[in-house]
This record gives sequence, C-alpha cells and structure tokens, in this order.
Amino acid sequence: MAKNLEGNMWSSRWGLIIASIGMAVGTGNIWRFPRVSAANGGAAFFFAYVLALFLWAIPLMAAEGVWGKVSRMGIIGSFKYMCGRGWTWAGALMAVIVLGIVFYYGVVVGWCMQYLGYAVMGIFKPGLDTEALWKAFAANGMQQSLLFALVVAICMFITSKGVAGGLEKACKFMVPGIFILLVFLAIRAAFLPGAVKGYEFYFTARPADFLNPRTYLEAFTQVAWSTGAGWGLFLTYFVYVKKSEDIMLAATTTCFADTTAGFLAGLCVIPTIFAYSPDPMAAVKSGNTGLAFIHMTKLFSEIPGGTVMAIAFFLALVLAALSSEIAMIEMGARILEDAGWSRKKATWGIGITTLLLGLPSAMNMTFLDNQDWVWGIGLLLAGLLMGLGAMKIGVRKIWEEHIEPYTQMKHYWMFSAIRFFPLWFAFIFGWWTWQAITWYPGEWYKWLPISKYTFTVGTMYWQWAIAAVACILLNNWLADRMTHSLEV
Amino acid sequence: MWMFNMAVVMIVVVGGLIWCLRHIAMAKDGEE
Repeated sequence: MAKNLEGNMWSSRWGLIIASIGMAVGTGNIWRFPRVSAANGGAAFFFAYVLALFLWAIPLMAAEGVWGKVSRMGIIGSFKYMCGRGWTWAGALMAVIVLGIVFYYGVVVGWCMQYLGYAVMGIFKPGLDTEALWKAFAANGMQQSLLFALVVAICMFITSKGVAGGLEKACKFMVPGIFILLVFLAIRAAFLPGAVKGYEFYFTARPADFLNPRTYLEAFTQVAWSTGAGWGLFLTYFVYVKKSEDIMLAATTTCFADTTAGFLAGLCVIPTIFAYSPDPMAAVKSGNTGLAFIHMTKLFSEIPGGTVMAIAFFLALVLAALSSEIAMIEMGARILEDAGWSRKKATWGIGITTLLLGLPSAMNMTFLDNQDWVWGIGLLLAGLLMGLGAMKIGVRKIWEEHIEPYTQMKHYWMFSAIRFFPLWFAFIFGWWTWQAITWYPGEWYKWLPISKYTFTVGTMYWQWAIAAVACILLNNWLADRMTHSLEV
Repeated sequence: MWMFNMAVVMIVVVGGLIWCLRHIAMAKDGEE
C-alpha cells in the first residue's frame, strides 16, 4: 500500500479533543436542542438523551475511531481496509450521505453570518418585522450564494493548512469561544424578568413524559444528528491520532461536551422565550430557522441590551457551524488524499465540488429543505452501515484488539451496545417513515416535483437508492483507488 | 422541584464532561 507522506497529526490529545468537540457542536445544539428538548418533556428528555448517548453515540463513535486509527484512511478506504474490498461501497455511501449535507450546510453557515452582520449593524430594534426580514433574505438567492462562497473559501483555507496547522488551530479559538458565549447568554437570560417561568417549564419532570415513546424517539434522533456519530467525521479525525489514543475517553468527552453545549443553549433560549414571547409554545414549535431568525431575533430587538445578546447568539451560531463545516470538508479531502491527491489538490477538489453542488441549495430554499430531509434521515442509514461493519468484524474482537489495550474506560458494555444498533435504527427510522407517510396521505411514495413532494418518503428512498446503486456499481473502481493511507 | 431537576441535569451533563476532561488531563499524551 502506498503511503501518503503529506499527512500530519494532531499536535496533542487536547488538539484532537477540541477539534472533535468543534466537529460535534453545530447549529443543531443551539437552535434545535433547546426547542426539541423543551417540546418533548424537558427533564425527561435529558434522561432519554443521556441514555441515547450510551446506546447510540458512544459505541458508534468508538467504532469510527477504530476504523480511522487502524486503517489511517478516510471513510471509503477504511471500510475497504477493515471489512474487505467488497464493503468499499458501504464507505462510499456513507461519504455520499455526509457530502449531501456538506453541500447545503455551508448555505446555513452563510445565514448565520448574515444575521451576525445584522446584529453588529444594530438593525434589531423595537418594532422590527423579523418575519419579513427573514423572508426577504430567504428569497435572495444571489446574496445567499455569495455568503456560501465565502464560507467555502474560509473552510478551504483552514483545511488546506492541515489538521494541526489548520483545523486544530482554528478550533482552539472557536470551541472555547462557543462555550464562553453560551455561558454569557445563559447568565444574561437568567436575569430577564420572568425567566423563572422558562426554567419551570423546562425542568419540571412529568411522569407521562418519561413513559412517552416520543420522548425517546426525539432524543435518539437528536443524538444521531448532534453528536456526529455515524457521520464518518470522528473516523476522519482519528486517522491523525497516535496509536495509543484512548478512543472511549475521546468519544465520551465529545458526547458530553456536545450535550453541555445543548444544555447551555437551552438555558439561554427557553428562559428568554418565556420571559418575552407572548406565545412561548409557538416559538418552541416554530422550527430551527423560525426559532433563530424570527422569534429569537424578535426578542433580541425588544430586550434592553438585546443587541449584545444578538451578537453573542449569532457569533456562537457562526463558530459552531463553521467548526462543523470544516470537519465535513476535511472528511471529503481525506478521501481524495487516500486516492493519491496532495492536500492542496484535495482541498481545492472538495471545495470546488461543494461550491458547485451547494449552489442549488443557496438559490432555492425548497431544494435545501429537501436535501436536509433526505440526507438528514440518511445519517441514520450511515450509522447503520457503521454498526453492521463493526458486527461483521466482531464486536468483541474490535474491543480486545483495538480499544481495551489503550483505554482508561475498560467497560465493555459501553462498546458492546453497538450490537443493538439495528434495533434502534429500526425503531427510529420506522418512526420517521411513518410520520412522513402521514404528512402526504395517499402521495407519500411520490418524489417529483421536489417542490411539491419536499418531505416525502418517496424522495428519500429514491435519492438513497440512486446513491446506493451508484456506490455498488463503482465498488471495484473505488477500491482500486483507495491506496494511499496516512504515513505515521 | 424544577430547581432540583435542573441541578441533577447539570451534575450529570456538566459533571460528566468535567470527569472526562479530568481524566484526559491526568493521562499521559498518547505515544507510539
């Protein structure tokens, strides 16, 4: 196997940890976690969420860590190395799913940057029609495209510097920044008149919520989307670790840091909404963009000193989104490096591809929503492929050979839970499929035009099927090219 | 009651993170 001499490594264990936290903490922690946790039981949701960390995220991330550390290759090459040549397509399908997200997530980062700009310019003033502001911005495809191009350029610049010189340095600035801003926002929210109503709603434990299956389904879904487990990003970061790196400790730390970020965001968002919103539940149920860009923006325009809060809130969103986007760009660049490309060429290759394939999402919000639906749910499938790969090799074998000798957390049950992954997948994926069928009674299988059937089961299955068939057909071609592992 | 629940969530979530970070700090950096 040829060796890629241009790779580098994390400068220290802390470099890996901080970059992994940056990868996991994204916009979902700030604008999705608070509203989903509040709408689905509050205290009960936290219980279900921690359960999901141990049953879903930690074992899956541990398997990813093994894939990266042992093979020294990205998603596609590591599947070939670990599971055999015939499994290359599985890594490729995971890569397609995550790249499907990279292409539109850069547009979302651009939205956050625009709203940070609005906050800095001080346009959030009493009486501002925030819904009209958002609709005008959402309809301006050109403005979104320019912001998207700026985001891709920033990510390319950081990624081109390598993991230690680029990703690690950037995350050492961004990740502490996210937590400092969230702590500031949580403290500020605590002093708002009426904030206690928010805490009461958020942390009151209702027995019915603990018994409600929806609490667990929402918690598992949030864990799947928020922690980055099964995305192949943790896998990619573990290509650059030392052989003796503690996979279980890194995975657990990343998961708890991710949960802490969501918890802090909840302490900011929920009390603020209950203190100032005339209809708090409408805000909680208004969707990600509705919450951040319409409701929170409205509240910031009315709260005394709200401009400072708005700057902190949107800066936290920008930093969280960027630190996740660079992880996804790095994932793509690593695959190209495995095919023998230099880091510079790989960065340009993935950057230009992202720019071209992300433009439709920047120009058309409906297309973005469709891609978010298709590849967001696709992440559950990516996790399943990872879990099946681990079972193919042998869960006990992986633990004894690659995890246990190097970890302080010698608790086999924490990893062996990956055996149950197909069961969790069946429950959660089945639940999402059933929900989508009820959204389009009698038409759930249709997928064209996308503008009409944006969130159907049909659009999801068809796009997955096209991707899966392409990956299976290209299996041998891809396997022949994944030959340049990282030199360590 | 909500204050008690909030404290429990904080201890589990933030405490879990601190526990992990403490163990990373105590451990020697990985060596080949």
